[in-house]
Amino acid sequence: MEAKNTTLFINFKEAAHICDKSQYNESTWWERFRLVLRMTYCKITRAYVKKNKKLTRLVQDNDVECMDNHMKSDLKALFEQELKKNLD
Amino acid sequence: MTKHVLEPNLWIDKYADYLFNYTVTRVNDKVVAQDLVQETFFAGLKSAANFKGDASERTWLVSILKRKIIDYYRKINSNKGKAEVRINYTDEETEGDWLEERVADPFDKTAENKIENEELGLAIHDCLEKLPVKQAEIFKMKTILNYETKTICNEFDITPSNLWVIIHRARTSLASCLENNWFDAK
Repeated sequence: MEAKNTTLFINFKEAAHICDKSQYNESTWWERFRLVLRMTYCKITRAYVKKNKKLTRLVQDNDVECMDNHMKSDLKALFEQELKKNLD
Repeated sequence: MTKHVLEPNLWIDKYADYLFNYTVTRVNDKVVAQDLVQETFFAGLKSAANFKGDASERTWLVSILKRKIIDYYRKINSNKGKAEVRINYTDEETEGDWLEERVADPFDKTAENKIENEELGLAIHDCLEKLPVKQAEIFKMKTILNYETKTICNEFDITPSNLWVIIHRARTSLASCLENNWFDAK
């Protein structure tokens, strides 16, 4: 059974959630404090934080690129027209 | 050997990001990359009849894209003289700094690093392709395109809690996929 969250102590699920938010700088100071506190006594949390940070670094340092959503929908519309023409 | 079939109606969703990433690392220009990816899809559609099914759809599209990238470089190289490098010094103070400018920067990324980064970028896209479509889209919007939580929630009509659950699942799957396919392979 999942442990309950208290003011100071959090369960792993909550710790993982805070860690995920921290990767996007969306966690509060208090949340981070509770995460660090959990890390002091939980090996699994420490491993999760390490893995998660590594993934963030990989994506950021390697300039992974994606097509912007607007670009993609424009391209989709154009391509669908062309596809229709080919089918006709 | 399994024969592959073409499904052009799924090309944009399945391969646009992969091909875009592949192109940007080679041409260093997002607008040019978008044009080249577009041309690739159109050319693929035109020559769909020539697809034998031996290679996967993506490999076949990448081979078309490679030719488009070569054509792009041929075109810009044929405009010789326009790409002349000029170093203009406007005042006496900056004059003479040129020797330093020309020395190779030891902190600059080496060619080997660059190749490894490109490969890793493609490996990340490979792993993203294995995720459920919605999960992959939300992860890309949040992590790569840096969209705000609110914007993504509005676009997909989900609550912030749903978004964080999706992000958590995507990150966990992606980390394990990279661990198996990238770090173990290295």
